[in-house]
Amino acid sequence: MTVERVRAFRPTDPPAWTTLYKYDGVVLECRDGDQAVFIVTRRRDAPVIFGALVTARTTTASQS
Amino acid sequence: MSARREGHTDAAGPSGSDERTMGMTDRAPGTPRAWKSLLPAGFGVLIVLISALLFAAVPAELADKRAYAEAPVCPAGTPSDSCRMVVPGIVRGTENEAHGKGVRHWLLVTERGSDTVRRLRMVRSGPVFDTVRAGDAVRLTYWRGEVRTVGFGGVAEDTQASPANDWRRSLGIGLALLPWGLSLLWTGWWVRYRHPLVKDAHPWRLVAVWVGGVTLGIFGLVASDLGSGVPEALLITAGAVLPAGGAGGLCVWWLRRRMKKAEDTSDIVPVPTEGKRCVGASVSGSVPYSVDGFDHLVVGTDLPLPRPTPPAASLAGHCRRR
Repeated sequence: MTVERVRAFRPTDPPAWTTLYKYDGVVLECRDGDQAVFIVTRRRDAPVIFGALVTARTTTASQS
Repeated sequence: MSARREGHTDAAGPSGSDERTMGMTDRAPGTPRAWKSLLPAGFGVLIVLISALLFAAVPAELADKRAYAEAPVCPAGTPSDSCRMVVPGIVRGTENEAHGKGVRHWLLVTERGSDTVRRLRMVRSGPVFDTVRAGDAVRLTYWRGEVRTVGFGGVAEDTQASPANDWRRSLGIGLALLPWGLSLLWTGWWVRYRHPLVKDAHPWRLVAVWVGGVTLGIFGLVASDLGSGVPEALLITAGAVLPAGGAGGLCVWWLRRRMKKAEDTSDIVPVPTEGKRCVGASVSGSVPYSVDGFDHLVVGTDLPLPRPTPPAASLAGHCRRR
């Protein structure tokens, strides 16, 4: 799973996201194989998730 | 049987969709429904009408105020509605009665030669109300059958029945409601004619008008309470247009800054986690680990990938948020 980019909410995003996180949320746009995955979280939690995903990738890469 | 039912739905299908298209012809795609603009516009008309009625009441109230101020003192022993009659009274006490969020100030008096205690409601806790004690001699000014002013020593204070301040309430509420009603009318117009054209999801101009309008209304209310007369109150309100506009502008500036800050994600960089940690997040996508109702992720160096956790688990203490 790779993180493609981190972005703020857009008007086209599901309304539930904005309802849940207001202006404090961000979207981590990820790709798992050929599937697009969106991880929605609070701005201040995003670096930790981002970090976990990057670490996981490097670990997997070093193992293989 | 099933064929007949199919036939029936086929027959009903086109006519039903025809009705729908006919209803939609006056509405371009993306145009908001009529009630969304009619509702604020309707309330706007109502509120503007109420404020107009309040403004219309002001001249009569000013005439009453003038009539009371200019009424001559009655000749002794000939009470009449056109003159003021001053009678001596004795204070029996004062009462501060809690009423809702405010306090009502009552002055208890008796007239000379009578034991009947009259409760006079004062406008506020003023110079007379604050200084008098039981037993003090006061002057009660009657006009058109009501005690309008209470005099004590060299000072005088109006009662609630005095026509001196009636105009303040009408003008103040009128001035407070007018910008509100106009903002509602403008909102109706904006939703009907502007909103479909503007793709920006954040109606800045709407925010500015509303904040400015409400601020101006508050200024109008305060000005009516403090101004010495109608012209002064209107002048203060007119002078408040600039600060009210400033408040609207400031609000938009602050919101825009906040939005810009939210747009900028360059400060979000990967941070390694020490140990296991639980963070609030939801995963969407057609992958097995995207589960409805799961609103946490467990991350940490000992886990290969973030794992979604159900809220129940977090409640049980397995997933502790920091």
